[in-house]
Amino acid sequence: MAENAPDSPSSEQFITLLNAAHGRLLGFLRVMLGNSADAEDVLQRASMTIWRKFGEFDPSKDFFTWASSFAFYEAKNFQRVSARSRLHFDDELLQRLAEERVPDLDQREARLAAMDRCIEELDDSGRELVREFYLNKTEVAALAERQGRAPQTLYNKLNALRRLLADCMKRKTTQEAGS
Amino acid sequence: MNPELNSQEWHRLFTAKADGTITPEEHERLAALLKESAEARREWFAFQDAEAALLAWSQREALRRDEGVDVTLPKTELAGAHSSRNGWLRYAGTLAAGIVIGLAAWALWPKASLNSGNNRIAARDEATTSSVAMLSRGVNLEWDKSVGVPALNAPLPPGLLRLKSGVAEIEFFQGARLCIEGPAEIRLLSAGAAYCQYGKFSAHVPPPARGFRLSTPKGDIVDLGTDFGLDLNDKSPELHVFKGEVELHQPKVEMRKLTTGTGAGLENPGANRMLVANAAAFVFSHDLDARVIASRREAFDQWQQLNEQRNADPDLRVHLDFQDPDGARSLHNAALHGEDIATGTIVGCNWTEGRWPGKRALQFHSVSDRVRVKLPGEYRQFTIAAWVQLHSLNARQDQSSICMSQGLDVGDVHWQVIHTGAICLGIVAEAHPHVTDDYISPVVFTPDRFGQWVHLAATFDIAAKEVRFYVNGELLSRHTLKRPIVPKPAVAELGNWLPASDYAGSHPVRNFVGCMDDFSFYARALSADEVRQLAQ
Repeated sequence: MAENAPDSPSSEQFITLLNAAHGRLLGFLRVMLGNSADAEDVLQRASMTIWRKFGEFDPSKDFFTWASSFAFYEAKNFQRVSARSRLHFDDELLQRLAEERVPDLDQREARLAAMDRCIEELDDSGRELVREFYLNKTEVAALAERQGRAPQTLYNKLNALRRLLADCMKRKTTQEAGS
Repeated sequence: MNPELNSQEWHRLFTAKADGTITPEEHERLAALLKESAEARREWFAFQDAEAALLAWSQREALRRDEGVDVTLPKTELAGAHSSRNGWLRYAGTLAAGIVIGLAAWALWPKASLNSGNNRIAARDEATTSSVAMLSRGVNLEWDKSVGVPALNAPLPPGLLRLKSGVAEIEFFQGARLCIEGPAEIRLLSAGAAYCQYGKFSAHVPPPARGFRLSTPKGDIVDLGTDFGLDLNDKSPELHVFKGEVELHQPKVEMRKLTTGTGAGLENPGANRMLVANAAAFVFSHDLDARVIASRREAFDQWQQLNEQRNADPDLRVHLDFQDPDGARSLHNAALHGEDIATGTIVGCNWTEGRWPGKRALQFHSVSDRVRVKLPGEYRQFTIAAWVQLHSLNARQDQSSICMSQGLDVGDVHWQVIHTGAICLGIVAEAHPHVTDDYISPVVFTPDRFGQWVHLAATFDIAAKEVRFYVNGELLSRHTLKRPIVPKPAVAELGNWLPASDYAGSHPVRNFVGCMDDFSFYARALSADEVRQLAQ
């Protein structure tokens, strides 16, 4: 009878690697697909492929680089079959975005950290609006009604806040890079 | 152009793209901009990171608030609060993000447990799973029922499998792939080892799974990264190495190494009956693809034939077979006696593949995805049934609609998966304030059922004073009717719920995350036999 399983790459390693690369893979897909729901959807599908191909992964190589190629093809495939919208970036642009995004992802953590500080600088009503919007994207109209405002007004306010936050994030990251 | 104006316009295009409100003309402008300007691309990357940060912050914030409210957790749940809090955040965050990696991935996630006192999911220590492999494919599978019948794509714990006939493919979590031709008996031992009692086996072991070990009554085979075949059916069991190298360990004799193109008889240790590897004897593993496709096509044809009979049932009011043309925005009602019932209207959703190639399905993903159906009339008995593939359950969402009447009027029917993974059939019994008579099944959807096609059916019968739940054609549970409220489903939604058609306020999210490829509603409580046939 056999003893213990020999030690070699296992599901546990797979999950550890995928968990570690998860945020960057999502960030990679977002710039091609434009929104988080599609990026999550595609990453979910790509994860299945990555798991199936994991036997071919060379542990001495970088997992993200390896996995992102599957994510890239899954994104292309998703755009081809997605019936939800016809508005997609063409393959040439996708390729370009994918190539440039990989080195750009080095800045991602700094941006996320900067944004967390920027949000804290907002007043309560601003934070509330941001929270409501990102949790329930479809419900700007409902939110507007509750606050007794026109949906467009609220949406404009929200986008002004997003712009403000984006500027703040940029300021904080360039300051840090300079210091 | 003024750089300030530039960046303002860019940001406007970025948000429109992210929110899905962008017009075709704007989209063209955005694409051109991103192609031309490296600076615009950098801004676009930063914008997407900003969006990701805001989404993550909002989710954390929502969880923090939930936790703040959640002061009634019993002491046991609060023990070790620090680690369990992190665990809970990670669990809920992952689910909230809709990431279901499936297969092995859930294995290392913290397990959620239900706190029955206040219906909240509370964190526990990290869960472990005993699963070591999955059943990835199969044709004409007939398992020994007394031992167990694994479902396709289901994780497999260590233990015995007895295949009476057919060909099964098992993927070990460590990476090895094993094809088994019945009759065969195998005991899974770990993610990289199994014990084969009898049968024919063909293994593909990629380099990272080196060391994969198959034990047999005649000795152990340790694979060093190869393809090999093992035939234990013959009186003289044989090992054939098609590619690479294996070690053959047999009692009382020295370990032997076999390489590409060679084989060995295993009947007597050290007998040294050397063979030339014969791939033809293991052809079952090579034509598996073709056979899987053929058997799925056959199943699809059979489904189409059975449908003709089913659609003629005089009590069948609605049958949505989801076989509408590509891009269709409505689902036709195939029930022959449901002519007074209009087609279902699709809102959102993606068309995708169903149970077999050629079978079409709708994927429900976002909070807006739904199919609206009218079910006029009152039903003193009914059966509601669907083929669904659940992808995940949202930890922040109490219920996921399979089919729910719009609103909360007396007689409304709410058929849903609750956050524990149980099925609930609710009939609204009182309107102001509203009271629903809920019938709740045992848990159906554990993580190992995510991604699998499951047939669900519920019957309701006032005369028999009973509600029944069925899963894959088998009776799951029976419940005595609480009150003889006559159901009137009226306008209902598959995969979602609206409090009222003109409702504009905020309401709880009830959307279903997964696929559906068949839905039917009968004005009769089907018998257990009829439900079994429906699930075939």
